[in-house]
Amino acid sequence: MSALPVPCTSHPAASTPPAASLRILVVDDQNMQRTIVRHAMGKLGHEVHVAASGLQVLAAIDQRPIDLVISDWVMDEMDGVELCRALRARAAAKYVYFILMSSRDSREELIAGLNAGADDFLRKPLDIEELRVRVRGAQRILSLQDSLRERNRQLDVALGRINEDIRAAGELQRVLLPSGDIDSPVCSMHWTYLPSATVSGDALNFFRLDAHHVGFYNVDVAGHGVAAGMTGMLLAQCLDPRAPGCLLFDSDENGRGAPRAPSACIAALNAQMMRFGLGSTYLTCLYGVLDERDGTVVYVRAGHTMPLLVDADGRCRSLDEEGDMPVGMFDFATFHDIAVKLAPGERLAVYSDGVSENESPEGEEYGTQRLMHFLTAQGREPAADITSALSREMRRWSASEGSFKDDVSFLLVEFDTGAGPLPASIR
Amino acid sequence: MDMKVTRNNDATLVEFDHLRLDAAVAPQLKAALLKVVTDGAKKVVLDLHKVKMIDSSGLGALVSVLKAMNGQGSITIRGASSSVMGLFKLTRMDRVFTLETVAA
Repeated sequence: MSALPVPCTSHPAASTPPAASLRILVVDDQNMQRTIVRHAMGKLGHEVHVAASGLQVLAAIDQRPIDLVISDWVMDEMDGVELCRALRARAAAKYVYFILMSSRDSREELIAGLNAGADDFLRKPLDIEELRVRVRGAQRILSLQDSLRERNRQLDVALGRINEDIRAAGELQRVLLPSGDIDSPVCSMHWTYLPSATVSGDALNFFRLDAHHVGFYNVDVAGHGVAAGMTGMLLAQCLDPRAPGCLLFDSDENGRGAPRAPSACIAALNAQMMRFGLGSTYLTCLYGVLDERDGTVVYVRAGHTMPLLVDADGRCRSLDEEGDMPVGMFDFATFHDIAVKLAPGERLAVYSDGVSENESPEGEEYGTQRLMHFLTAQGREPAADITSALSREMRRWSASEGSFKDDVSFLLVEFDTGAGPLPASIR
Repeated sequence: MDMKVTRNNDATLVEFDHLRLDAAVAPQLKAALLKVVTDGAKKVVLDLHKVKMIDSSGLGALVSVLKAMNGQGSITIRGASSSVMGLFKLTRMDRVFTLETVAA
C-alpha cells in the first residue's frame, strides 16, 4: 500500500542507502514501545537500530550514520527534548531528522520541542499508520537534503575550477606587464600595478618604436573578470611591437613602415575592437609616443583619466585637453592627437581610475586632487621611489594589504634623466 | 533594484533610486531600460540625481541601451551629480547622451 518503491534490502552497506530505505534509530526507555516501532519500521524495509536512553544515542551516534531518530519525550537521565538539543549542537555534516513521540500535545510543549530542533511529532499512544506517514514525510525532506547537498558539492567543484582558472588567468596576465626599464638614453619608465581580487582589466606597457621614438600605454578595460582580462590580452597583442599584426606601425611595400601617430593607431584599435564585437565590453586608454630628440609626447586620451605633468620642481598640473571616446564602444568614434613637450626633468604621470577611485574603508575616493598633492609632496624623489611610495599610499588609503576593488595601474614617464647632454646618436 | 518608470506623452521618465550605478546594479538597470525601449519608448529621460558614483560598468550599461535604440531614439540624463557629469565629460559621452545641466 505504500507508494514508495519497494525497499532493496539486499543493497550493500553503502554510506548512503537508497532513498527508499532510511537508517532509523528508535529511542525509548520502554522495551515494549521500542519493539512496536522497530517492527513497524522494519516491515517498511528500513534499517532499524534501538537505544534505551539519550546517553546511549550520543555515545553511539558518531560510529553509526543515522538518518532519522524517533525518540520518546519522557525518559530518565536525558529526555527527548534534551537529546534533540544535544544532537543539534553537534557539528554534523549530515542532517538528522528528529521525530519526538509524546502523549503531551499542549501548545507550550509543542513549542519547546520545536525550539529544541525537533522536526515532527508523534502522538502517543502510537498509531502505526500515522507513524508511516510521518516517516514518509521525513524521507521526502531527507532526500531533498541529499539532492541539495549533492548539488552543493557539484557547485563547489565548479566554483573551485572557476577560481583556479581565474587564478591562472591572473598569473598569465603578469606576462603582459613590462619587464625592466625602456632601453633609452634620455627617458625612463617607472610603474606600479596592483591587481584587484579577480582577473584584471588594466594593462600598461612601453616599448621602442624606432630610433627616436618610444611608445607607452595605460589601458583600463571596463568591468572585471575573465571577459575583461581576455580583452586586455587581445589588446596587448594589438599594441605589442613584437606581435606580427600589431597596430603600431603603418605598413608599406616592405611590410612594417613608420610608427603610426597615436590617433591613427587608436582609430585602428577601435575598428579592430568593433570588428571583434565585444558586446558591452569597451576600454579606456592613453597611448603616447615620446620623441627622444626633444621630449615631445604625442598622445591620445580615449576616455581615460587625464595625465598629470610634474615639472622639475615637483609642481603638478593636470593636462585637461579634451580627449576622445573610449575604444570599442562606437564605430563612428574619432581620435585626435594631443601634444605636450616635456622639458628636461619633467615627468608625465598616466594612471587608471583605480588610483583616483580607490576607496577608503569609509567609501571616500582617493581623488585626482589628492594624487596631485601626493606627487607634489614627492617632489624630486627618484621616479622609482615615487612609484613604490604610491603603492604604499594606495594600500594605506584603502587599508588593504591584499587586493583592491579595481586594478591600480600607474606609469611615470620621465624625460632627460639628468644623464647630461643628449647623445649624438639620437640628436 | 529600485527604479520608477513613468510614461508621459512624449518621453518615458526613468528614476533610478540608488547611490551607486556600478557593476552590482548595472545588469539590472540595463535589462530594465531595454524593456522600456522594447516597449516602444523613443525618448528616455533617465533621472540619476540620487547617483553619487557611476563606474565603467554603469556607463557600459547605458551605452548598450543606447546602441539597442539603433539611432531611433535618445537618452537624456537628468540630475547628474558632478562626479557623474565628470565621467560623461571625461569619456565624451556628452556627445551621444543629452545631458541636462541643471537638475529640475
